[in-house]
Amino acid sequence: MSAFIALVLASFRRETQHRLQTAMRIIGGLVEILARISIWQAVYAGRAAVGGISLDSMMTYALVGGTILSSWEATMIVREVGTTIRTGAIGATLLRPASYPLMLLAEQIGARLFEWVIIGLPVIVVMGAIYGLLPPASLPHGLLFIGYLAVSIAILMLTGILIGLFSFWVFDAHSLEWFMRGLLAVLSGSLVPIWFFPAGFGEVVHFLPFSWITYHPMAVYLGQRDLMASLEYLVGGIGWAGLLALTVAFVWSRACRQVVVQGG
Amino acid sequence: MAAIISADNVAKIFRQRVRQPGVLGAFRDFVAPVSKPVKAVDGISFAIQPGEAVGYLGPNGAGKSTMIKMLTGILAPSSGTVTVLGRHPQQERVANAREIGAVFGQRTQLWWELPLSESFELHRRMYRVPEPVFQRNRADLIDMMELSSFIGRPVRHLSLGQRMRAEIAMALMHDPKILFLDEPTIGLDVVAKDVVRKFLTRINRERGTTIILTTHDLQDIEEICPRLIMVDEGKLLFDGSIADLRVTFGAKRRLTLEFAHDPGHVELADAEPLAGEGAVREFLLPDDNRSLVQLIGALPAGSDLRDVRLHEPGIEEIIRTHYQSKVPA
Repeated sequence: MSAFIALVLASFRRETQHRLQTAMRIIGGLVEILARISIWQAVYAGRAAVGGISLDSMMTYALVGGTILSSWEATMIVREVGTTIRTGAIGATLLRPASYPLMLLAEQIGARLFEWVIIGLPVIVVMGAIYGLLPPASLPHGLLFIGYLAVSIAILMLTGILIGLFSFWVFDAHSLEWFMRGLLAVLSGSLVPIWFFPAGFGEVVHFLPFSWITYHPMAVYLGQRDLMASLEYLVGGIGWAGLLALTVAFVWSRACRQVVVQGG
Repeated sequence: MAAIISADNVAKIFRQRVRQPGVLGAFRDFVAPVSKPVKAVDGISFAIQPGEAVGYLGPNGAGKSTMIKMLTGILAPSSGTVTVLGRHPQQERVANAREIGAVFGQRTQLWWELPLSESFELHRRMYRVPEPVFQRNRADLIDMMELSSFIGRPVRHLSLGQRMRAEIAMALMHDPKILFLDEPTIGLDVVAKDVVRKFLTRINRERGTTIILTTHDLQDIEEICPRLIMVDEGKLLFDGSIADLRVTFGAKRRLTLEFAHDPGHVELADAEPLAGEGAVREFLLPDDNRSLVQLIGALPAGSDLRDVRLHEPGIEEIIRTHYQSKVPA
């Protein structure tokens, strides 16, 4: 456990080494949120609510969902696994007395913490000050949201690790990375909330694990569900996370046999 | 004593894609790829006792790194068994990793963006090294490998020589029973190579750490490893001491005699006369431990000898001769 936390912190520190890159990412984050907010303003076109969702709620959805619950940077995990395999660095990684998926998880959590604190926070503060930001619907909703946040991270990271592990079979991780990007942009509800999806499609997406990454946490944050339903969905999310963890463990045990170390 | 490492008829076969030429071939590759098996390691057996220092030697592509990767648990053998400290290194990779140290010359184990000291700290936690042991080893290794001047610097700013010293130090932080080194001196300058070799010799002698080292720099082996395992094309060629190597591959000492003037016919005990005429003569000496004094004493009285040179063949020469003899004429 101490090694896990040390890895999380090391990964966090590693991110802080690139100051210029960080500045650019903050600016990029601001521009992206600005674009999302502008789109929703245009969609609402002066109406106070569409389909029972107020413009204020939608702006908060875009702001919080696009920063704290964003799935975008997490696809880096796939690229990282791919690079490790393509360059043969997997050899050095496997020399360490630790599970590779756990090491990946620790490093990604560190990178994620960095994103929240150094990039997400300034973006939320700046954009919130300009456009306004709704607080959680109630205190219990806010507390549940923290639980949802943990589930969101778990599902996002496990999905990334799972797709990343397929690099052991498909050597080109780039294709996997784009596959994951496309998949998550739509199915997590980070671009468009699932309540705006066409009925049949929306219902299916609703129950897929990806919707716990952005959509369900935001629905709870905004008080779209009562507390009982929120709790039920939280349990569902934890179930998905557990299932994904088992799948990762299984795929990893298979991948171990598949290891080919590139380049001598 | 029980062997600390053993390989029993180990083979590793990779499948290599065979590329078809031309556009049509590229299309065929995509639809139905053809692959052929390549034997990187082909039926190798050996046993290594605790405290030994063994050089694992062979030309590029001989299957050295593949063997090290099987012993460190990264790859599984295709057939045969490897045992390290009584374990199957791949199936019990994590347990194995805790008790071995490894340095891959061309790959880094250090955290690239972090100061060296933090890599050591991460290593301590990952290998669960007790604090007092870690503090003692850290102090010793920093001192022996002269790391103190750059311990606070990010690894990516280190020179290759500094980095390699740091890699070796880190691999020893957790008191491993076995140290695997894959090309540890590759790319280092003469001074850095010397530091690394002296250090490894010392670790082997003082701590009793078993060392397995692959290299194609023979001086590494001459200085560090009393025992040599030679492979080529995945097969075992030789396993024994360097002295045995001379005998096995028939390497003889060469004696050069320089006379003041042409002595005419010279007979030298059982030595085989080589090319040379006039005042300079060369002989190949038989392997019978006869001393130089005895040999020269046997020269006819009155020989006006100016100079005597004895040439011991280095292992480099022995091996070069061997590999060259395989090349089809």
